[in-house]
Amino acid sequence: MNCEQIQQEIRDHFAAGEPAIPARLMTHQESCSECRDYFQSHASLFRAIDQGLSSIANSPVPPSLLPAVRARLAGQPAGHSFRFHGWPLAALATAALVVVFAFFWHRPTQRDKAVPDVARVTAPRTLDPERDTPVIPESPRRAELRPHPGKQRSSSTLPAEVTHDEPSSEVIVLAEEREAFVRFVAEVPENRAAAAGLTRRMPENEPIVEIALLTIKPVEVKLLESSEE
Amino acid sequence: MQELVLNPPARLLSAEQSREEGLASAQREFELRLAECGPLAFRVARSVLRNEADAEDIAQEALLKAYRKFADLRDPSRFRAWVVRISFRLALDRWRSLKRRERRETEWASPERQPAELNAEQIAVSNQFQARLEKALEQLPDKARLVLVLSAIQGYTLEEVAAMLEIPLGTVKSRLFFARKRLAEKLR
Repeated sequence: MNCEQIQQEIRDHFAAGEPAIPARLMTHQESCSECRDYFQSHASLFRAIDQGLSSIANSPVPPSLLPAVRARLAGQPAGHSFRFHGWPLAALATAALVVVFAFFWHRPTQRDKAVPDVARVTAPRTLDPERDTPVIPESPRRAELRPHPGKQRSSSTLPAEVTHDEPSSEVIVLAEEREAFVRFVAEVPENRAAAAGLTRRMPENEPIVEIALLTIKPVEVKLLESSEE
Repeated sequence: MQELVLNPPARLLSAEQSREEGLASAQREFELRLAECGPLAFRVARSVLRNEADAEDIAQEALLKAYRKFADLRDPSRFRAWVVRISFRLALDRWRSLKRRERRETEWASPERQPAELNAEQIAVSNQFQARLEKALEQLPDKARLVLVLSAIQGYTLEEVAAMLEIPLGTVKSRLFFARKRLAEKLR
């Protein structure tokens, strides 16, 4: 066994930290001064490493460590500090909010209660004789919304007819268009031409669209003959 | 005249009581482990950071982190390994952050970084050699470094280190061998 192999074994021996020195290393050292010196230098090197590591690893613990940890832990329950336990309550509160919001969103107003689906809007009662245009009341609020006595729903909007003799003309407005119509009436003073168009008479030569009435006859029901017969 | 007594529902009361008892039990259990794992966390952090103030800070963080998840730990015997790993990881992060800022060298020069009390033997190997040792320690792979530090902490055998890191004893020995050999090569 040459010295290089022995020195390799010496390094491995100290690196492994084994306390017992192999017999062949001891016998080789007795006859080889170079390997003996190598062994001694490595023994002191590893002793210094161990002492240095020990001083690093066993540094004194500051006395403030545990009290500081306890103080920081004081307000925190173990394993539950970041858990939120109020989910059922939060869900209830959210549901309540949704219900309240839905109630206010769909709550009928006083006017909606008074007026059913289709309402008649009474047109202005008077006409300006000189211009043949309706005299629009000052305030659009005077437009009166009244429930239609006969019909519950209509798919057409008829032009209002304004005459001197008739007490009033009516426009049938769908419930969903009522708000828009009120706004339109409110803007009429600025748009008299539009108002005139709305309230003009039907010309006599204008073809009238007639809708044929659909008659439903009673259905005659016959029993089906069975396939066996 | 009858007396009306308002009693909370028995089921709610028992659930709340059991929860409080569980918390108290967890706190007692954690307190028992704190005495052992506190110094361990500090020493692991100190071996990485070489700064007592930073190491104490990291140890506190590690213990708090472990405490927050203490109830989730299925096997309480693994708590020590858990704390060691948390502390080591946090310390490495802190150390890398410090290194990135290039403050390490100037902070190392300050007297507070030196070990608090040195005996005559430590003084003999300290100063230049100690600085070289710590420098060489930094250059070791993390796994080998942790094994080396833990095995150097007094009171822990290699079997305990293996249990602490949840690795086989043979792995501990091989990492230790590799680390010591690498240190010797750098310090020779």
